[in-house]
Amino acid sequence: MPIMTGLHAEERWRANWVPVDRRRLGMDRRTLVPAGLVVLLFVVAVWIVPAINDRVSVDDPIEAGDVIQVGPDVRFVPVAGANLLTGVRQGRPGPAGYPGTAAVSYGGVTFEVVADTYRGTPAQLLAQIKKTNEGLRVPDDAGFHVTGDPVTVTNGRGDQGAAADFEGTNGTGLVAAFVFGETGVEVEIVGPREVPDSVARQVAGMLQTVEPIGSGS
Amino acid sequence: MTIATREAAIARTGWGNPFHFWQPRNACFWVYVLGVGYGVWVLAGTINQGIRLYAPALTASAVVFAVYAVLFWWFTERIDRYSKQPLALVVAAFVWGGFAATWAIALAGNSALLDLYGKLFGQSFQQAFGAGLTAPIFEELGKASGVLLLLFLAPRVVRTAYDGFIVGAFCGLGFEILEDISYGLNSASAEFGSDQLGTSLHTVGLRLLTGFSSHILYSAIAGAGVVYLAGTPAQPRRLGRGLGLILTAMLLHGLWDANVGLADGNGTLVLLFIIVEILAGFAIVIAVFHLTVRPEREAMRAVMAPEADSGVITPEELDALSGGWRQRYHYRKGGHGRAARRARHHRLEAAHDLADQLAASGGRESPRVDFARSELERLTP
Repeated sequence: MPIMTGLHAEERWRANWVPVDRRRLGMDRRTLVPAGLVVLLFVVAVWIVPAINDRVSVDDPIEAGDVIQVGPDVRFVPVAGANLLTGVRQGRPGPAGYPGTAAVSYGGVTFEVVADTYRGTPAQLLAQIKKTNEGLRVPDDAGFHVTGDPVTVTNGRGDQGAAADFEGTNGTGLVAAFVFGETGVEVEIVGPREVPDSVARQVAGMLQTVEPIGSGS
Repeated sequence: MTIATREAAIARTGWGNPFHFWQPRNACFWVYVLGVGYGVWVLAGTINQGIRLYAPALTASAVVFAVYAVLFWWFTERIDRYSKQPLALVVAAFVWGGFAATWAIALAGNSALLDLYGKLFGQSFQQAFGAGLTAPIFEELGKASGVLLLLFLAPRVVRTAYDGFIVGAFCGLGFEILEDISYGLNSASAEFGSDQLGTSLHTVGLRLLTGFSSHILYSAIAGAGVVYLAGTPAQPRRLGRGLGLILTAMLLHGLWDANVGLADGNGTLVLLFIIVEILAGFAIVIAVFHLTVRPEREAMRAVMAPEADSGVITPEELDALSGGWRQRYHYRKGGHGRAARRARHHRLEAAHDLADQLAASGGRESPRVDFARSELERLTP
């Protein structure tokens, strides 16, 4: 755009002048409504809808016999009475299939299962999870990080996985990794430092139920 | 047509008016600055989360989409051939789309509403229809809000529905590019982050294939709608048409994002829907282009008709200047031999330069207008 000089530039400058009797709070009154509309959209998106979402809590209790499927290849059996936080029951897939993440809470403990393509061993997957965990700077993650040496865990049908402690500032838990064919599974169990033995046993039992689809067990 | 008609056309369309971003007495200026600032802050936080791990994926996505952005920028500049928008204005539109609409508005609204759909209707519904019932609201309105702000930041520049069409397209381009880069970054964590470049580039490829028919197209339609809705000195308010265009953009976006749900997971149907939606999207955006471009062409004719009357350009050149691609094509092909066709191409570009200088001077004679005329004369075969 060429730089304007002379009379025409002066006319255009004057056209942009905001007369004092058209100002409110120092602003051009004609711009208040459109600015207000955009602020309204911003407020709805950033505060109102998230606030409504925060206030809506939905319990989805697990009943005996419920099986949660994670992605096309993995499933687990939550303990009856647990609350399904995210995930879909086996046999009730939506048009998009089964999501690759499922989580339940039980007795203050959160049990999350993530399934995705992975080529490697459970120990390598656990190392990858540790590397990711240490590399990410996630706000509000309570400082959780994988600690300790990996140990071997076994599910109900005898598949071996690798597990390690998962320590945070306000809680503790365990991360386990399995690999079924070319599907990797990360199980993240997080809860308070002290949980009743019965809850610990039930959660350990859930870990045993993580298995590939079609295993028949 | 007379000099008075020329001056009236320039005044009506705002062609040649400069755009000054710094307007402390304009409330839209502060909303723009705060929106973009907040968006940049959110984006910086997002990048900071994964940069130590996923820098290679982020870099690869950013490089690919930077090239993609240049291509679409060039295309959108090409179709803005009549009363051209100032560079600062289209940059402002791109920046709003890329930072404010994406990170300040859409991210927060989409996340919360998607979560709410999951709680109220179950995760299967959320997966199938959530995006289709979320993105049209926060993404389309987020981008359209950029057109609204710029309409009031540059009321003497954004005058016609076609101006809204172009500004909307640039808002959409900014949104598309920054969203695509973030998709590339998000995909890096797939497969537990074990193949970040592979998973990221796979997503980049998918976005490259489908990007041309999404945000830019929807926002161009919605941008024209915003100008019809608000009304300007050059475009009387048309409430129905404005609302209709904005809702059309939202509907197109919603259908696109709900393809899997609408097809009930049937891959063949999904592909069919994609093809039909791309064709419908292009048909609609071309129709909106033709609906909105007419006043711009009329303005070009009004500005350059006195030049044709005085013999600076030929009537054929006037038709090509104020016509569509067919007229320009026929004009260029009218030259015999490559050199003649090239000369005609140069004449047309030089005539555009003259039109821009006439607009910049408000239709009056100026040394720059004289110079642009002399350039045309120099290029006369």
